[in-house]
Amino acid sequence: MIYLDNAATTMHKPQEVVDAVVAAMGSLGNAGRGASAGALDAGRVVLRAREAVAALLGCPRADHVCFSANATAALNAALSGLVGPGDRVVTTVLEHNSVLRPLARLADERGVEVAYAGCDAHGFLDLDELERLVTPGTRLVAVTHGSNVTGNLVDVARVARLAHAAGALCLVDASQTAGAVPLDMAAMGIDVVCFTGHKGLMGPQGTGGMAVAEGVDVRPWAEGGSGVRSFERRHPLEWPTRMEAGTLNAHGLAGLLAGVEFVEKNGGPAAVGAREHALVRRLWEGVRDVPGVTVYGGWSVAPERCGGIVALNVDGLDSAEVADALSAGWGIACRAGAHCAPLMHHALGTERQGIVRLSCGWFNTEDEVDVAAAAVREIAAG
Amino acid sequence: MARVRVPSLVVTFPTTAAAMSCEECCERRGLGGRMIPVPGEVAAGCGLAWKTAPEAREELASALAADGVPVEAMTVIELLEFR
Repeated sequence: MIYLDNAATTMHKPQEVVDAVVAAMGSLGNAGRGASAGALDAGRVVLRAREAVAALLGCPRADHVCFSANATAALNAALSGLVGPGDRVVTTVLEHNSVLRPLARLADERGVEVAYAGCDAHGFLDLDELERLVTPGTRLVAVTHGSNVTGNLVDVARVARLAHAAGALCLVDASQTAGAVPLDMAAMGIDVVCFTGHKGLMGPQGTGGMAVAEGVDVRPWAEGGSGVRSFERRHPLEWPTRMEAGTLNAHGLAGLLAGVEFVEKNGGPAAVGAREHALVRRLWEGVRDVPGVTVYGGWSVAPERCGGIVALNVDGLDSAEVADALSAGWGIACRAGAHCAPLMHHALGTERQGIVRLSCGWFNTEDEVDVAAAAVREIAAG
Repeated sequence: MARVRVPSLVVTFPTTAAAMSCEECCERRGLGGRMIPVPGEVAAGCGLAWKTAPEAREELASALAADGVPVEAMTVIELLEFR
């Protein structure tokens, strides 16, 4: 199989991640639940994972890295914990449903006003429109760091600046970028970063979380077991416990720690991202001029603002058919259809056809992307 | 290779869990077919569908009903194949 669906999950993991999970499952107790050797070992692993993620994301306080099952859980918790009745939130058409649907729920249930900034023809966020929408009194600006459809990146530092200028907070969904695109929330002024562990961080599925700047108040979303203050009626508000009700996935976090260490060992997000960028650029160059192939995203105008995705369609073919042909004919794994980002598809006019998304990761090779480009050419010529 | 369009039975499901149950049901009973991304002609969006020969419709429907696998729709459309 040629695996080009790394935007869904990095299926091929470093052996260190596999080994760490296996070792953890044979040795770790429940972090924060007692002082047995296994429980303490679990707590140590979780702490190291917090410290590693905090360093990678530029979060000054490791105890403000709170783990959850995935980015969706973190985004739901963060949005619900930041936004109150009648607040105004500005987001973008680039967002995934993990942002759009929680905001829709907040609109329905709390009367939250949500405004959506659009994009240009290449799918790049219209930052000027975003700035116009962020009016004084706006509570939150929620943006993705990179579109999961096109791979286009967002200048989140600028978004944070314009949000703060209006007195708003800035939340960044780094699901597609953490581990593959440098992000420094302290330097960039970002208030909350939500991340997943199983994509660019190369950890196991079932890991993710949020990193929260000091002074930002996120109300707890879930309440329950905390390992401390058992007789208090409500969940503790101290970080990171306030956002971590219930048993943590220490086995998964051991793998996430190994994944982050793998990224750092290989030069950090900039170096890892550069490798992936080169592969994706090679793929784009292999398909961009193919008659009958439409490539979406910003590769033709601003490749430096593109992530690890080539999004395309073949004229006259449904994206699902192209993906099936790539799989059946060449053993290429990719994703077709809609990508849980309905507004992005509306903006690109691909609601019906969907989009074929080919996404590279650390373990892909030039030979693999060459095969994929040749396969696309052959399908288009058929 | 040349593109050809072949009539195929496409089964869609209300959930991914149901789609996976269909695959398990068919494998256990020796029924042919395979999972594909949902064709846009059947349903805009995303998800999984089961693709098999149109003549398998009755037997497949009986098997899925017997196993309690919920089905959204069964549609015959022409799907792309490379020969």
